[in-house]
Amino acid sequence: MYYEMQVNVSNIDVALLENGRSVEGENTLLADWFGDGENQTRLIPGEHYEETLAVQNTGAIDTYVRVILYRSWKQGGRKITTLSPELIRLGLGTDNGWILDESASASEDQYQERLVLYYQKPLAPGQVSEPFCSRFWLDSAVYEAVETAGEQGTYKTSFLYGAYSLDLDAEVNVVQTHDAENAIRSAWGVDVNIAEDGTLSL
Amino acid sequence: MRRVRNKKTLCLAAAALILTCSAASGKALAYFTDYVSASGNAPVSMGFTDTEIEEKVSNWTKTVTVKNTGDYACFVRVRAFAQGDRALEYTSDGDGWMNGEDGYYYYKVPVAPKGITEDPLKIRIERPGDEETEDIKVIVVEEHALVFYNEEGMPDLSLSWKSPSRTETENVL
Repeated sequence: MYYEMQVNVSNIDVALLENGRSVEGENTLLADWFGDGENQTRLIPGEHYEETLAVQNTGAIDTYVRVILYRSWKQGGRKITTLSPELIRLGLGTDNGWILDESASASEDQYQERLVLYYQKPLAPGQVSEPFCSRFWLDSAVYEAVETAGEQGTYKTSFLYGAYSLDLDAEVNVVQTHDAENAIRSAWGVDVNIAEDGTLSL
Repeated sequence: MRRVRNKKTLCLAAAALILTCSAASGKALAYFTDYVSASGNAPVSMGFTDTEIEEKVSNWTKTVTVKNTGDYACFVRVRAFAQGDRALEYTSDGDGWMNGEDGYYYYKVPVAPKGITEDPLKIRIERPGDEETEDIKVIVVEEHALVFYNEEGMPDLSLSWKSPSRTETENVL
């Protein structure tokens, strides 16, 4: 005689969708517009580029979702800390189910390099969230940052931002909905409120 | 033998019961989490552009076309100065130009790299009287400004002309 017992462990999994396609890893974001590697096309300041970023629950249980976006300037893979990330503009989905955590960004005196968003409703298995980003662009104010050098009547003016690349990182975190407030506090270090209908608020 | 078997079954049932109770309890020692990340970059294209004026003179009228010879789109504007403060009349066959009420005529849409103002600007000069035979000098001045975009991502003529990126080209004929 033998005894058999089967134990099912719930599967939690998530995918980041860019324009409907799952992306993961380095040099995968923005590749639709600008490619990657040596032959990249270039971004024109002021022009808007459609960039739909959303999250899909690819696991077996309901989850709450958090997205962290990092925007910066880089040259040769090295971050440039003297240029403002705020000129990298994003069309965030804060009017379609996402809330921006203002306190998680840098202080008032600093530039918002990091943006943290929470999806207010739990995501069911297979469900795709509303987009947390719909477009991005470079503020035309970059044209105002110029430097002029020269002497003896001959001067050359160049754009400060012209030698750099815009860099965007997206990180998606999910956590179980069971005992959500404690789960989020333990996993993400954040205190949130979960209403009776499951709505998350900060 | 039967007593041993019953004891074994009892222990397994107790273990299953404990597992079930712990799964139903409110507190957990660890939580299910997962994450995914992606990154990318876009090099920026910024620079100044160049323009040239092309003119044809016929019947006291200059037909002016501006050509963008550079690599960046720009807005253009034109005005003319006539010797002796002769009157000048600005017209065009289409509606590509607008009077800026500041002496300049503005081309309403950006001129693409290697493109031209498709709707030429016609500058008619007041004809001299029969007793005047000297040549009349008319200076055509053209300026261009890099295209600035508004919050909706549309080229904005007034924003562009407020920028420090405009440059001037002058033709004297």
